[in-house]
Amino acid sequence: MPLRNEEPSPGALPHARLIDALVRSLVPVRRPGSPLRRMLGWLVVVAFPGAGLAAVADLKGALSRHAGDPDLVLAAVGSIATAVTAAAAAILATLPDRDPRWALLPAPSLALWIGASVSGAGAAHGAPISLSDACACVGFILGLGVPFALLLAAILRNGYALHPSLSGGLAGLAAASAAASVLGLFHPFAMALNDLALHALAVALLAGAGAGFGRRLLRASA
Amino acid sequence: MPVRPAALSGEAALSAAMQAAQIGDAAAYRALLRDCVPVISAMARARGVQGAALDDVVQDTLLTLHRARATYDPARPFLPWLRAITQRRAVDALRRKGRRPQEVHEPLAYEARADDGPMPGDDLARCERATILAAAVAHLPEGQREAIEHIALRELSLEETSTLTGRTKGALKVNFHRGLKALRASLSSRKEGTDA
Repeated sequence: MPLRNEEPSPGALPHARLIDALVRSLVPVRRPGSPLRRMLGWLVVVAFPGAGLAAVADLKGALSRHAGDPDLVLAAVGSIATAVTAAAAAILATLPDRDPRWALLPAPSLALWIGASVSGAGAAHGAPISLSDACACVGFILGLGVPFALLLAAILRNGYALHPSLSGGLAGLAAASAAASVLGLFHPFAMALNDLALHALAVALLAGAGAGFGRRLLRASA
Repeated sequence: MPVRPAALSGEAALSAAMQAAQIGDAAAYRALLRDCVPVISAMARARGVQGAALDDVVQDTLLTLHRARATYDPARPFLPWLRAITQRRAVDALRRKGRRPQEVHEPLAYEARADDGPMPGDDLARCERATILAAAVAHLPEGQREAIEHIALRELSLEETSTLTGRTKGALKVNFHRGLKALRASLSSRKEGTDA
């Protein structure tokens, strides 16, 4: 497959005009940083508001609640791992030559998060909480998750998403998981089924919005 | 010392050309795009794309390659990167084709369905129509011709056409409508002349 600078191949002739146009619009481009560096960059920026909120949270109370309930610990580990792996999968999905199966990376941690949360909420101590408290949780996840998701979308725009809905959905999941992880510090009541359902709704809303707006957000600059 | 693409062969040459294109080497980019065309055609054909859709997939893939060129990592092989893009565009083309309604469950409709294949003389007629249209388009002023070619004939979006031509969307819309009007006038006057 030698490169021929002089004579175009016969198959290229019908596309000569497009090739000319593309060559005319060629400008130097800067390659995006490594996926690991981009993911760490997002995590560091996300950690700032997380650390700020942790400073005003009742950390001692949160730790004692987690110490008394292994399901809470597993759910927290699951949500943090989901945020990390979903962000990594979203970034890898913007590199065309990476295996699309990387999109399954957050599946195990998501399963752990859901399993531990359901197990905790199903336990005897999981009495329903008031609707206003549950709605406050949803507001917290959405309020913190939307800027997290927009930040990740800005990072993803350095790449090129062949499946923008998938990348957007993963970005939404990562942002919602990160927000839910921070929420764990401010959650002064045991998990209840209605609370869990609204948490799941908030996560699904963010992931769904990411998938729905993925094309618009990730292709706008393309 | 930069590697000259022509001194290499096969995938290494494509990779070197893409690396040169990333820093703005237009000659290497032109050669790369030309050499990618048969490769893309073969990859798309292997995915089951045939006929006129093949050219569409090649053009879509070239456009995507252009937009995604920053994501190519020279430390990795070039062809898997190109193949991933081509396969995605091929799947898009096959889906578009699959969305066209076709009745297959109604026996009468099935029996009465006209053969999709070309009728005798179709190629000649199509060739003649294409020649007439190409001549009419070629006579348009440059701005109108570009708008008609990219938006109507190649079915690119306004945004894509704007990127390719460097014209604003507003200017493209105006040129497109003026071009259509001029084409309509030119082709209808020709038809009237033939009828007479």
